[in-house]
Amino acid sequence: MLPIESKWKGRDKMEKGRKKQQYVRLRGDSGQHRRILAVAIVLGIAAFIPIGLRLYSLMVSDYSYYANLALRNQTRTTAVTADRGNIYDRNMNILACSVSVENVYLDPHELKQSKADMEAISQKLGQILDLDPSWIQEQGKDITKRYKQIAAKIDEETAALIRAYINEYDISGIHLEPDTKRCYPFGTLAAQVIGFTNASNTGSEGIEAAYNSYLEGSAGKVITTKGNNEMDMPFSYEHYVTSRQGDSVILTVDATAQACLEKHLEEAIAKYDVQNGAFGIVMNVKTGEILAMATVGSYDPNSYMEIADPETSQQVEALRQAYLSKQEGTQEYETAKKAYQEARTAAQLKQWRNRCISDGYEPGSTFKVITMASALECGAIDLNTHFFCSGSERITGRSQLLHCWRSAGHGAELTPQALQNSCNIAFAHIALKMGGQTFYDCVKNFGILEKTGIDLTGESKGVFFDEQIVTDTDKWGTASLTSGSFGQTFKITPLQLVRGIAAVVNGGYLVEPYVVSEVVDAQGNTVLKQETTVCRQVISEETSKTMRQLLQSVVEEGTAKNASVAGYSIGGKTGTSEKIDVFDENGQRVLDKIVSFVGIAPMEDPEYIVLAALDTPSRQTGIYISGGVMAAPTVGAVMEELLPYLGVKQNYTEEDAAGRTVIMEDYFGQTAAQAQKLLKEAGLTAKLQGSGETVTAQIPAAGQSLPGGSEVILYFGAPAREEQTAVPNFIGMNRQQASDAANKAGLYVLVAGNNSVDLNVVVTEQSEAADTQVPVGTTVRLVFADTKAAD
Amino acid sequence: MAIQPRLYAKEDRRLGQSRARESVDIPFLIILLLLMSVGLAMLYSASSAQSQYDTGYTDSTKYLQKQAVCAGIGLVAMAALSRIPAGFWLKTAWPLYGISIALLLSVLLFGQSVNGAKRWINIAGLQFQPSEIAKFTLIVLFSRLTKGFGRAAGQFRYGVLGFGAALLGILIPLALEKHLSAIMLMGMVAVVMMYVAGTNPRWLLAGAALAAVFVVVYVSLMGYAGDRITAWLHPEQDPSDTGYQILQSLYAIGSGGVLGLGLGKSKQKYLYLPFQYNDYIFAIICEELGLFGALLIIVLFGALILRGYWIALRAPDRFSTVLGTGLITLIAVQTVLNLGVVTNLLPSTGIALPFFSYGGTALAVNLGEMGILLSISRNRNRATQQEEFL
Repeated sequence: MLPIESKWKGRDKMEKGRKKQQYVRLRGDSGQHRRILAVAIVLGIAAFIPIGLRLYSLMVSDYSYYANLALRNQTRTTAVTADRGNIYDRNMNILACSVSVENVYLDPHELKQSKADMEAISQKLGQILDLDPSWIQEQGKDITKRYKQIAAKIDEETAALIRAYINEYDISGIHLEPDTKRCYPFGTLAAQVIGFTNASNTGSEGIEAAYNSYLEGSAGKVITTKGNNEMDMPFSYEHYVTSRQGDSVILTVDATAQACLEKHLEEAIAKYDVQNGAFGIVMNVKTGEILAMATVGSYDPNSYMEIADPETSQQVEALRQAYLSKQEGTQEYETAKKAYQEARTAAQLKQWRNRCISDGYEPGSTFKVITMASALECGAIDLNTHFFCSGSERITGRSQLLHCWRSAGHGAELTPQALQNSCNIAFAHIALKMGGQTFYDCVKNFGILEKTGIDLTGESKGVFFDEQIVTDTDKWGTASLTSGSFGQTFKITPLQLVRGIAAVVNGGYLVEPYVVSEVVDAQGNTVLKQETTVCRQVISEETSKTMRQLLQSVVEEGTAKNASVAGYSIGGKTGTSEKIDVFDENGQRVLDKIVSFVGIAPMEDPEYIVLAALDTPSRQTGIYISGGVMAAPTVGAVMEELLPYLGVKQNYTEEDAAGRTVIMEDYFGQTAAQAQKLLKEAGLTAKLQGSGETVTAQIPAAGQSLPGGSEVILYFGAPAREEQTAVPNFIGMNRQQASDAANKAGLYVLVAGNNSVDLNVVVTEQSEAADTQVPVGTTVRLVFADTKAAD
Repeated sequence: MAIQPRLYAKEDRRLGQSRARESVDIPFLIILLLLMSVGLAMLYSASSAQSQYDTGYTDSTKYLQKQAVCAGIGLVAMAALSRIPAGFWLKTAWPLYGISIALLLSVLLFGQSVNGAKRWINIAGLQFQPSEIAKFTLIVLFSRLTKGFGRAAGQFRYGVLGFGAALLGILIPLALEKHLSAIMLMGMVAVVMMYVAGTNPRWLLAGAALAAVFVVVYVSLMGYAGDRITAWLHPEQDPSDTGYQILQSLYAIGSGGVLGLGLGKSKQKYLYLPFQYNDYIFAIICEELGLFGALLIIVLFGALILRGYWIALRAPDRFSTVLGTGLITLIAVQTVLNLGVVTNLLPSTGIALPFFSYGGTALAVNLGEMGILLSISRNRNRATQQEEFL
């Protein structure tokens, strides 16, 4: 350093004297000078001009564009999900509710960034979630994506396992998000009415769909400005849109009634080997409230994608195996795959379908109730109108010979017998007497041409004749009019029929059926209340009263004796309809039958109407296929169970006394006088044994049901008979035979089902199997039915 | 502060006494200190969010602290270097060249990897980039050569081969480091210096063309040419990956508007914009200070650069002139390239903004280099004085 310093200083000294300096010399190199100036202008000024212009365009011209993008970049919208409302039955039993579940998704971008070991992750997740690890690995590969769902709606327990795994290995890129899952505690119960929600929690069928806007509530959201990686920002804002919890829906449906209806339909399916399912409705005739609406075989809305019917499920599975066995990518494979998918979809749609409102069927003879009520109302007939049935008849304007179901014919009949016998020929004449126009107007009046307006999705209105075809008999003949009178060659929905018959018996008022009585919000405030809507009065009170008597006579004397229930006055009408539009593979009509029965109780002041229809009972069972034999006892069984539950008062006639059920009390320790008094009040008589002061034993034991008027044995000190006895085989016995057999064996008999003392009415079921050993004094319940009852 | 700028001591002149050390160029010094101060303030603003995030919300000054220490070291270096006559560097040019190449090679052997690139070296606990020293060395050596070649620089032998050989000595180890941005920067500074030295511009153009071809081939061999070009021209095509950086930068700049969101109120700095406190600090400046503030800073840079060339032009000898030109050119090229990248006029290169971007070595070295420029300005002042005296 020193030499330089000294040189510097030396130069200073020199310059002191001479005022010539280097600067001037340097200026001589004007080329370099010029070049430096050029560089200075380029790098000091020119280069900044495009930058300045660019900044102007970004920050002034395109300001709003970039400001918007930046805002979008910096804001997070977090959805606050609203809990879906519950669905309750009329007694506030939960039919549908939501439970918390979680979805698992991968963030492939993040997984790649964090250099996660996809191999190990796939193995572990595959093990926890029961998924194919290679499939998971595949999902994780698409690194352009930030969201790849690998499992939906897993329960909290499984989610906890995954969370533990994530924490243990500190993995970034596997995420869990909360979701809800719909839960149906009663499983298949009323599945088609309740419906289900799809993967995105939107109602897809039934109440879930019809009341989706109430149930789902509205999701809220929180809009916040947030730093990346969820970093808090001091200059941020938050904006809340509050969520509204879903409203809950309270149904008119009664889970107990629904279960009862479904149980008896299922039993009937088993008993009569019904091929194509069954359906039924229980409705309040005055209010239109639906207490039960069943389509059997049902499905479980908890797993609505699975085919519930085992046979169909097997067929679909076979198709799946078939396409999986084919070479992928080939034409065969595609065809087989399509066949499988179509079969699967068809099966799903079928099981989700609410047949009571969506599918038309031929009502058959049950429709005669509406025809007759109309004819009585318009005065075309009265109770004394004469008919004659010879079994078959040629009717003007009808090319085909008209057959009555009973080929021997019903002979001479009056109006009540026409209904009791369900005589087709009589009804054809009733329709002819009314005339096509009147018949059509009446049918229209009964709401047969319109939807019932029930608050469910997917209601159809069946297929009725065009007006002309019925009214213009000159042109179109009388075939449709006459067939229509007894419920053939047109289709209506079960609910349309039930609604029409309800109007016949309730005083003539056509009501609008409904399944939701009330919608309440999360705080319990009523949002919507449904009340009875009377559409119009279709027949007079007078005609309605007449019809009630006629319908009661059908059960008491006509084709529907099997529907009778001790203690109740039941009315109703049977129906057996042929499916004229179903053909076999050869193009022949298969003549499958739907047997049905519409029952009403109590007839003094009707409250409930019950429809049960069995689609295609098998010919293999050997049981005569008719509504009277199959559907009537089914409805009878439903009513026997349901009416007491619904609080309909029993009203025993003298005749019924034998069928009345008494519960045996405990008389231990009572004196003879006391015990006899109490027994008399209960409707029992006593045989006294022994000579003690008080009762020491009794037969039957306390709590046992026994028929009214039975004789019980009270022991006063004497030892009780503790014998066993074998149960006789009652099947096929009539009332008298059964009673004798029971007496002989020392058993009590409870009569159920058809309680008329007719020789045709025989035991079809017994509660204790034949030849089992039971204590003397046991009560055996016998179900009687008229095995010859037709239509 | 070590520098005591003294205005022309009139009494000195009156007394007819001449001091050994004249004052440094005051306007340059003021602009420089202004830029450095604004740079530190903006670094604090731009790095605070990242600092909080990194320290678990306990400290927003993690980066500021390191940068301030380096600024202090840089200022001391500047003061010291401003007192060393430019002639000193004439003598040390070749030794520096040797040391630089040795350091660059040692990086290849013992260097530390940061973000996948081996560019750092640890000496006595201090981490720094030898390439920063290499840049300075190149400028000093070229100045030395320019002085030596004299008018012979116009000849191919000296003006191209001579400079070229010296340049390759540094560029080859840098190429082995894959330090593309440093190569580009040095190449550009070298071209400017050769032009100033008198190398025929046609050869420089040819050389630039050759370099461009080389870059294209090199980049395509590296396999990310397509990505980079797409990310540059159409960043919106892959907003979450290759286009992310530049889009976030544009969001920051554009959302600043005319007056900006206000000092410290950037939103993009909250981890949206990566490298928000080093290479992309200017985007945050635009967001916070708006077009107004951004242009003000550009004007300051422009003034610094112009004043720098002015100092070089007034230098007493050829070596000092070329040395000063080289030093200010280094600042100018870095500034222009950085602003061009941040505003997406140029594809991403990885060049920091002098006096603003986070990076201790760069700041200290830059300040030191400015010290040398200040030292050159002392002689100029004397010359001016003398001119006045004439």
